[in-house]
Amino acid sequence: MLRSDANFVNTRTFRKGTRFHWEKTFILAENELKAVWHHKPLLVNAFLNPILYLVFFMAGLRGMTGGILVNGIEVDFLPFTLPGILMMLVISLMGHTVYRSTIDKRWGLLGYKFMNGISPLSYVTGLMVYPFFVFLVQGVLLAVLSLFYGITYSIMNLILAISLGIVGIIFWCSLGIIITTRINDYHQRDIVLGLMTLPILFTAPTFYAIESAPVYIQFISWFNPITYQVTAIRSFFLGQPDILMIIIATAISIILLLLAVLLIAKAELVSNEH
Amino acid sequence: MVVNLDENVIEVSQLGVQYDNTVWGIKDIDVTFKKGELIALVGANGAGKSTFLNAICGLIMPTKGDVFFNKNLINRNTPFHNIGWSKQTHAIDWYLNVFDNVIVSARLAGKNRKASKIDTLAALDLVGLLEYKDRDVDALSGGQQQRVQIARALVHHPDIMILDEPTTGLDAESSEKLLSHLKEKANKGGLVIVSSHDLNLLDSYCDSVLLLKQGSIVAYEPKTKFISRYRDKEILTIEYEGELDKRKLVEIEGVVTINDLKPLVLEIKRNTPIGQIINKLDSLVFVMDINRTSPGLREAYLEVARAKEEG
Repeated sequence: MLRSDANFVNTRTFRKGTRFHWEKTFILAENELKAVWHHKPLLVNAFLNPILYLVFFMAGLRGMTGGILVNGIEVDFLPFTLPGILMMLVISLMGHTVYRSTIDKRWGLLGYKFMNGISPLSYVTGLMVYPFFVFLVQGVLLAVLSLFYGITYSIMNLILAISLGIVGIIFWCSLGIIITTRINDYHQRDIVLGLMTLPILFTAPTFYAIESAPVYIQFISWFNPITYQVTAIRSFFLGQPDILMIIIATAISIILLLLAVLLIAKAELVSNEH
Repeated sequence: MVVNLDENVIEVSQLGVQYDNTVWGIKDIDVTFKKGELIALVGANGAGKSTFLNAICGLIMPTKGDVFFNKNLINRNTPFHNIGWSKQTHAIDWYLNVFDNVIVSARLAGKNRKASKIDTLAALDLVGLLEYKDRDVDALSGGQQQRVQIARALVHHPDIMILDEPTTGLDAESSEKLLSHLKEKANKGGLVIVSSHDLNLLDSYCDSVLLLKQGSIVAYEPKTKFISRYRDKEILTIEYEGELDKRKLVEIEGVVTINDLKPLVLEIKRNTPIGQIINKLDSLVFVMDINRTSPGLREAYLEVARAKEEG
């Protein structure tokens, strides 16, 4: 039964038609950065991670591994695996998005934000600001540190590679938000994330050439988004942009972003987390 | 800032919320909330109070029925711009400090950075958290965390306040201060809906009472009318030393119900001479103090709830 009086507004319309609003997105983004600033160990951890990966993992393996063939050209192990490390960092940033969106859902802040006029797109992009920022610093750190190992890149290729990494963040953070909206149980979510990360990272050409992997891994890699993301980033690092891979990596990010926006717009605002 | 609210602020029509397609949290609720009132939403645990408040705010989509807000007060895209809302569990960002948890509400309501800062400090001062403004919220006590939520609900000076058990965890002084502030807002023409189990506190401040039971409205009327259902009884509160056997009290003539044993709280018929009661008690324990009062919201609530159960 709808009230005919035009002087009244139905609460059913409260969540409909909220548009993207730059100012509110900035307020949310500022909030997200403040949230991390209040927990500085998170930042320290985020900035130490790439250094540790490079110094202890990549540099260590480089000594026992020769060059890797990419499109018939032998490439040094370090520049080959750098995109893989970048994708590892991107996936770990997905965990942050999952955690932040879970807090919002669990404690009723999601409803609070939506009822304050934050649109689903503003919400999703606002949550990605911290991962963008951290990834930018991590990417630059990795590039600078690799100079000490005799690896150099053109500034333009570096900027393009990091930009594509940011496109990857859109994909993985959107996926994180989708997981949060679909799974209401903390433990179940942790299990899904834990089980997902390792196979995803190692069924793609992150740290080895996929051609040298068993056939079943090569088959799985076709369905693994990291295959396209890491190959596209690597193509920039190696100065031979792979347009098809770049298009696929960008397209799947846009699709996941739209899906995340769609699902968060329909999410329950009163927590049923347990 | 209280604008000129129209007479009817919220109209609820045939509202029902069903959980898991089986259980009705609330059902068939028809009610209109008018300006200038502080409404006490009361009911037992599980009566549907939180469901009702969440449905009013648009946080739960009703299974049936509708909630209408006065168009002059609510922008459908930013309803909380003019609603101060706090929920039963702490809707707090545990990663932010006290100040940042509160200021975001003012900023989202459209205030600039400077005005938001001023209003945030004022709101924190009002709830007694000014000296804790830089603390992490997880370092605060439960009552202080509740106050953070309340400060956030107040900071943007909304005309409509919808608060779910805001006094839970608050000390007596803070609860009184909060209710006094809310009453002032209602007196200026705002609308305040407060759910709480602290009926003695609500008694001093509310204008109307809405009693929910098993998801339905049992009573919604002015407090005085609600309490008048109880006009044929009085309350006798007796301080004593010693041990009392409840069975012996039942035999005393004039005692209708025993509400509490220590202190002893008896419901007696209005104008009952209490000499016989005191004499009887004196033979059982050492009576130290006696207080005879008219019933309040708490007694009326218990009476209505009891009558409904019997009915």
